[in-house]
Amino acid sequence: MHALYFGPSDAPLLGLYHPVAHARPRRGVLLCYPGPEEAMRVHWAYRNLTQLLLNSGFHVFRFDYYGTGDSSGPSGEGGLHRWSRDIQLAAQEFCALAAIDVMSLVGARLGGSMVATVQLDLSDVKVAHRLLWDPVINGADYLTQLEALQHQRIANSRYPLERLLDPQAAEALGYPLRPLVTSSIRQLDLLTQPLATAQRITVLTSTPSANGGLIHQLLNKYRSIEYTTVDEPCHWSTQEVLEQALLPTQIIRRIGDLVTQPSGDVL
Amino acid sequence: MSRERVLQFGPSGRLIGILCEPIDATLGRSKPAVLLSNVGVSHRVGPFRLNVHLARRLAAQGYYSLRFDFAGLGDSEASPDGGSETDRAIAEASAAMDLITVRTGIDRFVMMGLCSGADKTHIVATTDQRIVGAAFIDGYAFTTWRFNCRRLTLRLLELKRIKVYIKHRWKDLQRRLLRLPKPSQAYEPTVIQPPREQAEADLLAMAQRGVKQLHLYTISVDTVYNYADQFWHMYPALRPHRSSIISERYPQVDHTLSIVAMQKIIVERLCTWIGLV
Repeated sequence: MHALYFGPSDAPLLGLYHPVAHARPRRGVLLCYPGPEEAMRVHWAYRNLTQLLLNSGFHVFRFDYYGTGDSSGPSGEGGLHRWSRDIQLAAQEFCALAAIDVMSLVGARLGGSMVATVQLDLSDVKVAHRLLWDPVINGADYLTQLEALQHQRIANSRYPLERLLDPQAAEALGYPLRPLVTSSIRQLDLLTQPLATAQRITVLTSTPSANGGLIHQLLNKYRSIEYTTVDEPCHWSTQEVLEQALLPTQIIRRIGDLVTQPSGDVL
Repeated sequence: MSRERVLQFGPSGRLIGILCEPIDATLGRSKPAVLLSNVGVSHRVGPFRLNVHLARRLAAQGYYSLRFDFAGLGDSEASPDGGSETDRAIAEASAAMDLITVRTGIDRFVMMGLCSGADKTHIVATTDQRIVGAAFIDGYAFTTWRFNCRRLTLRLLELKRIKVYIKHRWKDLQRRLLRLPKPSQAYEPTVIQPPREQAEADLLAMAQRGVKQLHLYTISVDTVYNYADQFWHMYPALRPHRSSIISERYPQVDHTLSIVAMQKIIVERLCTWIGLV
């Protein structure tokens, strides 16, 4: 593994590049984290997925968006537009480091939403596959869910948290929610926004699905999207486990299979 | 203001850490550097980016810090070496300190840890003479007779606690009736602490060596720590060292600092305390 800072010198992003010695054709997978509220939960799962992909001969690159993880910027800043640009920067960095011919993108939750929409201009590199794991289809619904979870958190606390909370500053699940971030999330609607091009797009949902109805509307609209569901819960909206690491095994295996097994012309 | 560099170190470069440097590097070299690491299985950024906020705030005060993953956690590779977890923690923290010394010349260190990070802080601060300050958030705790009296009284009197208890039981019942899966997939680190006498002896030895200590306890550990002075009743041998040991209880803060204001309270406290080291 090669850890590095990349991107603009005044706002660097942390990237982790995992090369494999013999990848033919030179294939790579860019892993995109969910939003800050859920990124902490999937870190271990992404590490396991990275190992699985490496074992299958794929280079892997993962990174922290601006204002998240070890990247520059305070918590609460960024937003979907900026993070989508971060995905573009990460893809370019990945291509420069690995000299890959074919790239797949995998993202969970908001990461999946951005993977679905982000346009990549990578000259000689083909974007073969975009895999969306429990993607957020509607940003306004997602914000409503975050708000409900935050209310639950306050209601369940043994300490009167109202004394601590700043009524002027919104936050959700331990992270500040600045207007720029919330407005960018509110604008998200995969049912109306154009999806980016890829030879293959797959939606993978855990069971029970966080937003099954909207997923099916998306699938009805885009008949070419592949759909798979895995009988393993992720509990994205279960208050009791929100701070605990997500350790799915079947989902990670399925993502690994979907990304590495041939389907179509390229992979 | 700060500047951050990503470093890989230790055997085969399998450990990963972020060195956060103050803009005024000269000032930083006269101060101890700070070590921050994992909390449970969370990677080095800590819960809700606690370690990132802390590192950047410390840098603004002129301190260098390294937030890193112990082997097998976060993004650091697992160690192929045998040996106990304790021995590995000591060796890896030592490698982190060596690295900082090579890069900055600093050879005095403060280690700060929450939960399992506090356990590792205890282990490292006990053995490594370069540690001059240690901050423990929800570190080891041992019940006392006063703890038991207070716990019983609170259980009988605290209405909100009873409401929360009933709510939790009701949720359990609903889950069973609806046959919903129990949210048990998450990893919960087991707290393994030494016998009280051993913990006390370790902390006493640290104090006698001149190591400044800060022990913070949150509301989440009130099943084992529920009043402000419990620390001094747990460890009576430490009472002569009150000038170098601070113990505080934070009933408004939970274990993972799940509200932004909680994070600010703890970061502020740590950043104020370090001035005493």
